[in-house]
Amino acid sequence: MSYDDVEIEDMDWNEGLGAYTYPCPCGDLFQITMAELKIGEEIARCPSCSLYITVVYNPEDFMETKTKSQKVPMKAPDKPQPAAISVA
Amino acid sequence: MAHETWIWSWGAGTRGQLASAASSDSLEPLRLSSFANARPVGDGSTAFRPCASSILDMACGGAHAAALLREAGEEHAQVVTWGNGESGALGHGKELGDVSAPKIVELFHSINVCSLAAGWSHTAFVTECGELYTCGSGSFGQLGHGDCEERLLPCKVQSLSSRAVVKAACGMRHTLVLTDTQGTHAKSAVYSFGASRRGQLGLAELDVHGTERLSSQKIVKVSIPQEIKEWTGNQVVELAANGDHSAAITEGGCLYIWGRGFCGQSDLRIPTRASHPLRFCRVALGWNHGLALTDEDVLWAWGSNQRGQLGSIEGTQKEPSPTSVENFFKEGGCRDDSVITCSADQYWPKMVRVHGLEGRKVVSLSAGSEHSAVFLEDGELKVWGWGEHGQLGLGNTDDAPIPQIVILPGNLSKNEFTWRVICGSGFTFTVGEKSSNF
Repeated sequence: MSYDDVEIEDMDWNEGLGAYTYPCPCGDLFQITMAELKIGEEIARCPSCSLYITVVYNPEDFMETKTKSQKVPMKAPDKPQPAAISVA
Repeated sequence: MAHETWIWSWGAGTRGQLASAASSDSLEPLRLSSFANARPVGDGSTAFRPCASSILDMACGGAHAAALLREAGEEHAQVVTWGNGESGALGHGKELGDVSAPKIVELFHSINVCSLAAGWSHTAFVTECGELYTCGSGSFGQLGHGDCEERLLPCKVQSLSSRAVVKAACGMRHTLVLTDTQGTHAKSAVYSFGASRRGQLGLAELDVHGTERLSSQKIVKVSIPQEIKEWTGNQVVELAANGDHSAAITEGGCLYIWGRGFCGQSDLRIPTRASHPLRFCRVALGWNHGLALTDEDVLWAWGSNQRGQLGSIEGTQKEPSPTSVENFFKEGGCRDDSVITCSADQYWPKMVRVHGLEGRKVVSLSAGSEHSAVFLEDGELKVWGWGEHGQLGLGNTDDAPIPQIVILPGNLSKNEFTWRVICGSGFTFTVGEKSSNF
């Protein structure tokens, strides 16, 4: 059973792992790679334990289209925001 | 009189968070020698030598921890940190590697720290002068410096410099701060900053630039401390945070919770008071559960019981017999009721009594992400909840749905010691200290 449903916006982009990550209660990180997102995978696993989460995202944001001209821009990794209060 | 401090750790350990020589999980309590003493030596490196020091405070986070050590006869207490060093939460500057033995935070060499708090990957330090320092990951504004950058060394939170900070609590990605009366500030206050999507900052009605209300929009992150003003005149005395949850207790023993809803309930965007008549004195939060102790030493739990986090057989029932607040009074507020459902308040989770603690006095209480632990006055340590990494210290990886006794290796006369238990996300520490002249 999925430990939690987590929106991709709540996940961190980890350059070193090449994956979006989210804290796992064991102290490690749930991870899902860009390649997995491109094929519509929605389970992010923790390498240290049995738990996994369901990643909530719009697959179209990550899908690679066949013709280059129609390529959907990738979601940029989260950047630090200068504003003291950010609103979504 | 010689001071004796004994420390054990167990559970997830791959990032060095157990402060044991081996960076691996331990299913059983390990008696630690690495705390014996931490002192900088002449060449700037840190060496350990056995000595009796007192542990004034300890805080465990996602996969790191911090402690405040004071040597016999010394005024100044050293801050040490260990575990996952990745985002600077250990406060050792550019050394971002994992640290598997307590290491002195040099910045506090001449600053007196009096209490600590640890989040998923950030750490908060409160000084005797009432200042707040933070370091580690800041991507959700949880450091309170007005930006979302990380800090590798503890930095003073400038916007709180006119307030006397007495306590901090760190959630996964947010921070709560309690301030005392000082100068023109006649009342204590609670400030919050960091991730806000689940309402964990308690700022739903935040007034931005004095005019615009954001009640229709979700505030995602706040990087400058904002005051929470929902206490209807009561003074907050206790704070807790973990995961996306927050809690506070006011002078009169009222328990407030806010943040992510438990068990699929709605998120609470402002501190919400329990409507039942119990008076609480201590509170601890996990990622999906909470624990609160009443004035009369009854321990209540709420939230998810999927891993046995509530330590109650009642908590596993899908349809518990509800006892409304009204009935609670009618029945004379029977203290032995094991389930309270606040039908008057649909937002409050059902609370259940933790099993097998009747008539026992809890001296220390802590919650990890999905496990719980209490130390009882008679020297018994009890744990329950998720056990996959050995965080229960029972020698196996099973979950425990009701409290189990942990055997601490070493032949100690337990009632001569004062005991504390501190849970990190997937690991646990316990500290026993024998009375001293400190």
